[in-house]
Amino acid sequence: MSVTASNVASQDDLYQDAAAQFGPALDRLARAYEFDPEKRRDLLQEIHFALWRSFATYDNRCSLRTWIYRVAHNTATTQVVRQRRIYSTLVSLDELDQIASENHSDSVLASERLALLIQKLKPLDRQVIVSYLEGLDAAATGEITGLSPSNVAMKIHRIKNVLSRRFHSGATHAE
Amino acid sequence: MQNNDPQTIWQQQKQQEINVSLAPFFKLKAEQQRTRNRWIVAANDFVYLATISFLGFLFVKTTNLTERVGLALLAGGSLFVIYQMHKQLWPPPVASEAPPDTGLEAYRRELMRWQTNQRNLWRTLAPLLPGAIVVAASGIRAVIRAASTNPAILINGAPFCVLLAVWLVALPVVRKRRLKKVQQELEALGS
Repeated sequence: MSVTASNVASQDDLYQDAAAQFGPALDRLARAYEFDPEKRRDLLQEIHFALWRSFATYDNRCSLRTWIYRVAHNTATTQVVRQRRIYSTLVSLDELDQIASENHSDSVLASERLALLIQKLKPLDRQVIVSYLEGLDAAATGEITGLSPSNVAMKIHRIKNVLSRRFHSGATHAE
Repeated sequence: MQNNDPQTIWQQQKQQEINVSLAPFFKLKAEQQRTRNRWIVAANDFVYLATISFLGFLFVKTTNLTERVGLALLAGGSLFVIYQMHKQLWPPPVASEAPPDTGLEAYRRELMRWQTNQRNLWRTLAPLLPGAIVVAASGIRAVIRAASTNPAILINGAPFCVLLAVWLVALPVVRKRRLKKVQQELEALGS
């Protein structure tokens, strides 16, 4: 890695700021990709490492938030594709609605049910749903994913429908 | 009263206690990654050198010309495969001045990389094929000759032959189905 001396300080500072500001969001993002705590810990560390490495070339051409989410999602997506999960059981948002809701025991927390639902999705749909759950607007989501605003809006509409059916009607399942 | 708003559920979930490591640790990790890659190269080279040494040993031991030709072809093929694997392990550096790819670009790139790797797998292993065919043909001829005096050899070898046949038929079908699914995904991303 060729990082100049002046670059090193800013790279480290940028990373420290990003970790302090977006640490909890990155933790939640890792939950959207890995259910197993050990694998999630590894993924989270990979994300932080990728982030630190990426800051060597950060040049303000996009916002810090967009940069961080792109790096984080890209790292996690690479893991999904490399673990060959892509051609197995992942579904699109349209297909997700057709999958029967699973009967979880009461001990399964609502947040875990939500994470399990997200983990069924293909990477791009997963990025949109995570952005929506983090409270990002369609423009910010479009900037992160590269999808057109209309496409993002359409996907968010579907996400809201799915989530409302799974979480409002199924309120008895929540913790 | 419990809150069923998914955004609230998501944002208020309990944080995993992960000690976010500091930059010096990452520098160490980068160095470890480079070291690990070097070890992978060394291990690959060792396996192939051991294989070539073994092939050389067989070459010296056998007096059959066909087998010798097959072994020489296998050794040549192995050297070519080592060269190809080296190239794949150390890809040329990419320009890193641009912002990170969008999710769409990164996903497409990963799918294409997977697709290319799958297609290249056969091309990478193809140099081993001529030598393997010559050696296998020579071996089959020897087995048939031995079976003419002792037919039990054929019966004992039948399960292996059946498994090999099933594998040879099933592998391309599974591979083709996976490639088709990834191709469909790529086409959907392009639209």
